[in-house]
Amino acid sequence: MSQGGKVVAKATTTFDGVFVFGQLAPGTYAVKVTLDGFQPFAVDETVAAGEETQVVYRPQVIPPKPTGDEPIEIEVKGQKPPREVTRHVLEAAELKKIPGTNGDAIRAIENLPGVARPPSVQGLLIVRGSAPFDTGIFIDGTQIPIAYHFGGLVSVVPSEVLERIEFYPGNYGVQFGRGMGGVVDIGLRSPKKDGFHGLLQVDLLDGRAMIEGPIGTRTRFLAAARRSWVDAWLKPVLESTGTGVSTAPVYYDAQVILEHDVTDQTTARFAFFGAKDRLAITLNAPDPNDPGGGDLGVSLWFWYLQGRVQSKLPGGHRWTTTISYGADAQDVQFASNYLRITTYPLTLRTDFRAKLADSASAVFGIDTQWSNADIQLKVPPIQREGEAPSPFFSRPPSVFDFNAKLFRPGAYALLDWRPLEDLTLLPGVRVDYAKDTAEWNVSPRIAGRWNVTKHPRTTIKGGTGVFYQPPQPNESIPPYGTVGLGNNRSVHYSLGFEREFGRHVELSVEGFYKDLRNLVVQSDAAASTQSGASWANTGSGRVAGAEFLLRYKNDGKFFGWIAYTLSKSQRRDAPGEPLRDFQYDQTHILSVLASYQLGNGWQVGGRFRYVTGSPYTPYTGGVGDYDAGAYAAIPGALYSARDGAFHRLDLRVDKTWKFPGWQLGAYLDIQNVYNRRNPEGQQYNFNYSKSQAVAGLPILPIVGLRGEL
Amino acid sequence: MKRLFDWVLAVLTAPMFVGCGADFDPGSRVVGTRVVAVVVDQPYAHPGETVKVDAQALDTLGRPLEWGFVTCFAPRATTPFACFQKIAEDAAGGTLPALTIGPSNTYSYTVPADALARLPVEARPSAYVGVLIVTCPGKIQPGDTQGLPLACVADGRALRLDEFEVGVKRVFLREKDRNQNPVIAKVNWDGVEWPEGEVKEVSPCGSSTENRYDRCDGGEKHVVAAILGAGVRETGTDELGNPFTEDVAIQHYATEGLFEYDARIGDRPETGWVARAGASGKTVTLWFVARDNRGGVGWTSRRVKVR
Repeated sequence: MSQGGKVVAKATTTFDGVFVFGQLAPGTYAVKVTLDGFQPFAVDETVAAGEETQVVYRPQVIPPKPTGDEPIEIEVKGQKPPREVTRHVLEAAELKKIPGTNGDAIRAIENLPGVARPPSVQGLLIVRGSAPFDTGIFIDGTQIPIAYHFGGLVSVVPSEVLERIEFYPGNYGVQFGRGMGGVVDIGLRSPKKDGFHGLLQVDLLDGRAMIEGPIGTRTRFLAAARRSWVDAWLKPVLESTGTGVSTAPVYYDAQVILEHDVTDQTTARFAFFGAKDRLAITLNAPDPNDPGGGDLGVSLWFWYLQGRVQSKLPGGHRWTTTISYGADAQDVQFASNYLRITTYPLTLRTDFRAKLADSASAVFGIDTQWSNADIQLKVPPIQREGEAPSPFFSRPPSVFDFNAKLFRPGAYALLDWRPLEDLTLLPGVRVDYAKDTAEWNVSPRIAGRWNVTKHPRTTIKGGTGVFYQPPQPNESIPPYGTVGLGNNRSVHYSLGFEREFGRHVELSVEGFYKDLRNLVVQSDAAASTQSGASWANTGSGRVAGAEFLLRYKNDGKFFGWIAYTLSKSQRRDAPGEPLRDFQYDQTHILSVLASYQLGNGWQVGGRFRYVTGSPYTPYTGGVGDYDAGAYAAIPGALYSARDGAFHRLDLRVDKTWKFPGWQLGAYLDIQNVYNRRNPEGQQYNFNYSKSQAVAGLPILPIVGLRGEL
Repeated sequence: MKRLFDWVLAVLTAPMFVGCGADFDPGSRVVGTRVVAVVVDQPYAHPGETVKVDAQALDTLGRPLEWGFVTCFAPRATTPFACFQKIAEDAAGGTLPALTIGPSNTYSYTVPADALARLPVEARPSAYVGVLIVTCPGKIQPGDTQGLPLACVADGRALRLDEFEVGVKRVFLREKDRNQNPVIAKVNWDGVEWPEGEVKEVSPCGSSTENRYDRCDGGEKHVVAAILGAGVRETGTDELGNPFTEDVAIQHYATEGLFEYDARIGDRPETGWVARAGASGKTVTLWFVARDNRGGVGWTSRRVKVR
């Protein structure tokens, strides 16, 4: 490796082709690779401060005969040191083979420390004791409304189009704001330019297709689509039970990427991604427990157009700008009640990374959201959190038809500073404004990593930061919401260490604490809105816990990990009230998974999970609602009872056949192998005098075929 | 808005899962004390008006019933529990209306003349007075029943909440609007009109414990239907300017037997009914209660002798 004509470092690869140059000063280097039997070559590589550059070289074998051989791929593996205290990055090979996820990469997140198990068939992401809507899900910086299709079995972006999934359970950098939980940042990958490729996959849940390839020398494309056919086999099953289902759940999603190299240093990309879920249920008769019932229809969809320009500038600077516009809609109709929300978000994110010195770089960015929402609703009056169900048959509904506008600009600055060779400090600050609350927020954050030892590496890590989250629009925008609300506020603290044991084994231990203030909760004050509810920033809470991750990184044959989270998440609705368990509090969360390549195309894996049961509010009896001819429950103490523990074993077997130019894969993914009847809440009789646990999903075997060009 | 969507979806679909999949006794089977209908002569009452509340209940053990009535004015929410909370708040503030206790199942209430004027504008669309009704096959006393500040004592013990009845009937407050109680014009038995005094005779199915109509085989299954009078389903625009079309449901109750559907919409009132073997030799009462979604209620009953 040389710089300015002067050799600065030399390295010899390991037996599997891996080499590392450590502690390089930022700048551009010429890398020359030589190996007996291969054609030598040289390339330029740019190294930025605080980052590790990963490259894959494919030297050509010197052909012994004129017919030649296939190129041999030598992969240099490595990860960027995280800018945040904790960032979990999963490799593609792992993502697609994790048992119990049906090969869905985004669902793999549920196996990481800090992630609670959502209630059955609810595609929620519950991170470090936060509410699901506290965690932001982004596709290359554009926030999307949902991560999963109906039921939580499948995510809205298929694994095949992903480049990376970065998951920050908390204490993340200033690039992300308006959230108090975690962040999931999904990166769409670049289309391949080495020829046309395709994929066709079918299993019991859905069918998908993808095609990609070059258009000329500087442009490439990727198009993918997926449709479920759960309705084809589930509808007859449900009809046989007398449910009266007219349409079982159907989901679709599609992605189109067009990428163009404007110059050697600048790439422009246009992406479209969208998803739709639809469900309709026709009931033969109204429910006697609330006789206003009728047909139920639910539709969720979103689409976004995203333009992104990435430039490498002279001097090691980088500039990325992303603009997106789209729509997301939520539509639910039940008898004569309805809720229709269509939102049109326009977002701008620009991020400039400047090299200040050999030991320091800075990041400046703008992160702005505009949103215009059309809202029509006719729904029962809002109930308080945890309030017992009450028939709404004869309760006057709230009827609204209004437009809401949100404007939430933000800007951030981050310094990536290495005051000592093994110490990295990342102080940053973010400034946000929310027009709906008319509130400016300044969020200082700092993270640090100290490599105590190098080989094997031991790192002490820690950080703290302030996080603000504006209220939900329905809480803050009149006439439905309460005027004068402030933003939710949280302070994150974390401290831990990482320790490597050889090349493949790593232990990470981290303690965390979140102090929650100014939380928006329903107020006891007389209704100040036409929704029949009032909101106030009187809530507070705390989350404390520890996360352990013992991981064996993929060595080409085996990967696996043990993730355990111990946590306590509590809330109070008003000052002076005692703390109570939060709705999504789960004390123990254990995931143990492993996958092994047997050879000859076979791979087997298993996953076991154990999770403390979720809290629920018990009902102590029922009182009559004599307008509905039904009963309303009498609630006990809020979230004072818990479901029984959840545990489940999943297994997965993959077999791949390779043929010239393509390969065929088959897999069997069995969820809940021993058919555990996991408790997923309580169901009650008509007057709430008797109850029994609701069982979750039974054993679910999924068989699939996958062909790849 | 995802939070609102999740909440609405959960609230709208929650009743679908009450009792779903479990082998609970159907709510249509009346065992012990049950209030099946509470009729107010003016479901939409005007300020200054006196309304009459008429509660219909039965006790399958034949015990005499004691009734208690008390009102809650403009609770914070429209749930029954909000009425309890309002009464507790009024009691704490020293303004609790007296609990009227006695053998009568009727009660009168005069709406204050300034009932609407005293409320904030935002609260007026859902303004109501709740009539809390206690139906006790014994004596009503102060006490604590599963968190409620009262007790029903019978046979020397305080009954559980599912052994007597506590509930709320709403009287909605409006300046001008009215709502008519739905009228059941007739009841059909296998498609033929079933006069009120006529007692039908049936053979029961072979089971005394089955809780599903479609599995209760071996006896006579009949189709019964409460037919609504013409124009029962009111439509129009209310005084707040909101267009409305009423939903009308028919709910069924019986002292024994199984209905195919415990509730039906008014336009499709037919449901199967079968007696179970345990009712042999007894006379069963079937109740048909029509409810509109603005507080209107109408009812009728018929009797069947099980062979």
